[in-house]
Amino acid sequence: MTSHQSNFWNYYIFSKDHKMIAKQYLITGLIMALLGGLMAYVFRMQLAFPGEAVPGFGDVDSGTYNQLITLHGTIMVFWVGMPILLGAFGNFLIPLMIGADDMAFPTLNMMSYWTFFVSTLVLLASFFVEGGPASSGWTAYPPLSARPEYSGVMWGMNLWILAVALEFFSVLMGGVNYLTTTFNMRTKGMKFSRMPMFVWMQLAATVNFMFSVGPLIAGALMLLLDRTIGTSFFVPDKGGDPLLYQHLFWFFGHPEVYVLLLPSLGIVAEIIPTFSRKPLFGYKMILISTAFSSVLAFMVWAHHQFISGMDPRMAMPFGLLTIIISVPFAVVLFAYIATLWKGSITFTTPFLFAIAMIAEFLIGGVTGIINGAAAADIYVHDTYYVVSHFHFTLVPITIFGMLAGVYYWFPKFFGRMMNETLGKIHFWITAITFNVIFIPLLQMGMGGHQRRIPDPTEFEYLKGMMGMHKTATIALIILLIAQAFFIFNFFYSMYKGKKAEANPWKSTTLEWDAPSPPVAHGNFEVIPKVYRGPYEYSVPGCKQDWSPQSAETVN
Amino acid sequence: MSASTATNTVETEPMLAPHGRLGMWMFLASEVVVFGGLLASYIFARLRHSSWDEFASQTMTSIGCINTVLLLTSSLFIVLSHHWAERKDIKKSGKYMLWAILLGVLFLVFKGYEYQHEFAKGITPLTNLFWSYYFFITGLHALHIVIGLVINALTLREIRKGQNLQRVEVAGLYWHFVDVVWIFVFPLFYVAS
Amino acid sequence: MSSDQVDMGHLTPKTYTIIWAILLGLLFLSLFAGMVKSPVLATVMIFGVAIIKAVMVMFYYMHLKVEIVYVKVAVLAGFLALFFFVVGVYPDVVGQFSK
Repeated sequence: MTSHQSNFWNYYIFSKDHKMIAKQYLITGLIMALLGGLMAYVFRMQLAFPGEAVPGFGDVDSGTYNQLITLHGTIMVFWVGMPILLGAFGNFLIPLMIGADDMAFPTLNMMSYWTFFVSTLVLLASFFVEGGPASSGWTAYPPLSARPEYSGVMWGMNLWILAVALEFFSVLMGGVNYLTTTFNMRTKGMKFSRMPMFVWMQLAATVNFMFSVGPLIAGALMLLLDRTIGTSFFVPDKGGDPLLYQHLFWFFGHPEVYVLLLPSLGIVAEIIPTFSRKPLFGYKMILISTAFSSVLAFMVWAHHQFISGMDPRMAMPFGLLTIIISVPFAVVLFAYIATLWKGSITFTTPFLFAIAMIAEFLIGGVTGIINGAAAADIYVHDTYYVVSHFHFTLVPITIFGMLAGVYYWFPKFFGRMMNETLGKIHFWITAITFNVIFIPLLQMGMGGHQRRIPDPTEFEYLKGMMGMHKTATIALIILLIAQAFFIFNFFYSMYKGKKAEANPWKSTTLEWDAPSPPVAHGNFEVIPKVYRGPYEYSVPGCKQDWSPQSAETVN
Repeated sequence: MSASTATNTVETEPMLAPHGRLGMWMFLASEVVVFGGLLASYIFARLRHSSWDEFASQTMTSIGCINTVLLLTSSLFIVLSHHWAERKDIKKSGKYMLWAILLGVLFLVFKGYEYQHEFAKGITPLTNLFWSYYFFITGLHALHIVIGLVINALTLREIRKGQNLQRVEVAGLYWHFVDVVWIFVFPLFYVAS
Repeated sequence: MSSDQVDMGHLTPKTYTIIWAILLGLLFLSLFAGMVKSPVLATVMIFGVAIIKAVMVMFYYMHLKVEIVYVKVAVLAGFLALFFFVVGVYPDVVGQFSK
């Protein structure tokens, strides 16, 4: 159980308390998000104005361009998405939502954050070594990534591999904690069928991660050996197989996107009922769809490899399963939309971000169909169409879903309310500029604009698209500037925001029973017992439009 | 608090299994895919290169055998250590854990001898892809043995202090897992067909 | 009250030792199988023995046989994920389109 040492080091730094660890993950993740976003600024400036020095950065040659896009992708997936969606929200909310006083393994939890912190330092260190950071894309395909002389990057890439491996260990440690805690520490009355969907989604994400990361750990070590001691696991001239690496990577890479998606869907699942005053529609159906899609997630990965030279006969099964996997996710999204139907809606900032997550993700899902159909993918693979598709999925997941969660649970994390006006300004500018960036990219991709090239004007047929490039870049700059509203709001409200009551949103789930913020040791003044499901809003015959899980009777 | 009747300190829904045991199994389930993926990659490569049968016959089958016996026996000892820990017999539990550790150390000694023998013949991880896989897989496995020895040593300390005896089972699970991996590594590299 | 009572009462040190002896016997069987003429039969025997040994260690030493269903499902899921990996990668790395 949590010990009661309260010196500075044990309270703030090496805390074993899940709430403090969650905040550590959140702050680290948000800082890295800024870094990843600034990288996007630099390379988008290069794309819009090729050859011109980027204000605040300098010249971007092709090697630097590759490094920027590599680090942008790597950071956003592994140092923003994972730590915030899983590390921050999972850690903070799982014990609170199930009525526990902490995680099952507090010391392991602390080690999980510090492993993550070290991984962050290792990644940042890679910026400063000779040759600079990794440049082979976040996917790190060999042979380019397997031999330092091919890319000119030596230690930067080795440190990158090390950083990602450490990050994986951190998530594995966290995952063991989430599973054990949820299985063992649910309070009286919190049967599995009464758990908030958020908790289920964290479990599903953890399972997806734990069973998919294995081959990539093997592959990453093999890549590191190829780079450092000169083995040829993936280098063809000595008998190695580059395609094997792709399989090792994407076998993980595909479930990984669901590792990111599911917690975000979980966040939205909590917000929508609260602000529609209606139960979550189709709880069981959502669970079944999530389980089904989690199994399918392990059977579709080669849709990332359709034009790699893989066995063409495998294109059909992988393609077919990919198309099928869109169905259970569509079910989940439609269930969320059905929750809104005839609800009594309050358009708060978290609600707006949650709705935007669903709407934009739907666009992402729909654009994915063309990528998933092998024959059509031949045309769009490695173009901006794919880039746009995965931004239409990943940005709603990691940015909109994440922000929805931050605005929603900020009162619980920090005991104060964020400013609604600033929140709404932040939302509208973010949502609009996001679309202005990525809709043109769909068109560009369809027009044949390949990805991962630093200077489109080198190609005659791309010169006509420079207008769209400029539009996207300007929209991105506005998007980044608009985040200032959030950053200011976040830190100002932490100290000067209106003090929050325990349950400002009148939500039914258990975390709102704890004070805002929760009691430092033990979370709840009295550990609640659970008497009903998590979304009992507007129960007929009830005067109050919400019935908390922990209230024995409600009039 | 005995190994099989751990409970939470407040009233909760029934625990499914003690934290340590449950957590370790979840971790091991994920490790199945780590070693499984790696061994599968090796098997694929082996199927593509019929010439590798010749290299496989050059591994030291006798040492591989000895190491298999060592690990199987140390698995026996660690499960006996757990058996006596459950019955609170610290002396017997500690004795068997110590033996399990010693056999694990012996495994590493033989492995070291084996590697040294190979280096002396001019075989390194860079000789060819077969030997790359051989050194990598057996090396990664040996690293897991080292980690297991550390875990076991820490657990032995707890046994001697008579506290946290439920951890013997958890340490045992990890150790058995490393044994199971070796059960597959052995035929893949040492029994030339 | 907890549902984590794993019935290990019938597994005595004697049982564990018998299992150990069987494992050792299987080891020698697999060495013997290495000398069998037909490579296919030899491979099947050797890996069959490995699987039996692994299952015995998991069931009896790791007590998987009497574990709660969630653990059994988790372990199965690990092997299932591995199965998907093998099926999906095999054609590319071993099949006719590989190098």
